[in-house]
Amino acid sequence: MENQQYSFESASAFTAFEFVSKGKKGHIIKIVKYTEYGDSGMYNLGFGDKIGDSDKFDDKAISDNGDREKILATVAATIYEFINEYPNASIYAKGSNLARTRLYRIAISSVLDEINKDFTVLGYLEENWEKFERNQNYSAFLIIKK
Amino acid sequence: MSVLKSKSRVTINPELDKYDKMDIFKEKNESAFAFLEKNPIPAHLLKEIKDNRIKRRFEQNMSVEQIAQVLDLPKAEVLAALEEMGLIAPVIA
Repeated sequence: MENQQYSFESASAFTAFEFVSKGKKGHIIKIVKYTEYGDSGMYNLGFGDKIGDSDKFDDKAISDNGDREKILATVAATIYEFINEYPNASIYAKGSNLARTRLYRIAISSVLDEINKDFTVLGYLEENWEKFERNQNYSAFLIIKK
Repeated sequence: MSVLKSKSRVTINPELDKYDKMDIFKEKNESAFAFLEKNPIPAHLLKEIKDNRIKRRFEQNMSVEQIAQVLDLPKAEVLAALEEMGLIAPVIA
């Protein structure tokens, strides 16, 4: 089980996390960043690849490194770390394209029972927020600690 | 331990603090916040989520004061929610 996620580093405030994806295309630095909307307690989950040695990141990159599940599990683990520090935060997540949003949906569905123990997950469907259910074509997600 | 909850694999790296000052995913953030402003969580869902959070902590034997503090809510709001859910008797002033 331990190998199902990467070890990761966190900024002191637990709002930015970095880890290295290791796969067939080599080592790719990933970042997960939680950005608050004003002081609303609503945070956007940003996720992307580091571009070279710069401090720039690409949230549309498709790295195809063969470790998708491990990456998703690591992103999920950062949610626990973040929410542990900001228990009253709401996390908004939406993929940078339809395929990635679908991936998020599949990932949430696969561990929904476990997530539901600690979080309320909402999905956006047909211009409404509703409680997340499997097999629904949600276009965005909200995660709130129970 | 759950793989999702594993806490053994995170390390604090102050070098990453620079990212806190940067709007790394500016375009995506702006789009997200505009969307959230236009599509807020419906009031009935928000209330249900809030009530459940209060109830969960009440069932963990937290006091009204503790719940208010932990959830960053006014004590009167916590009391009203507990009363409404029938978890405590109405408080008569």
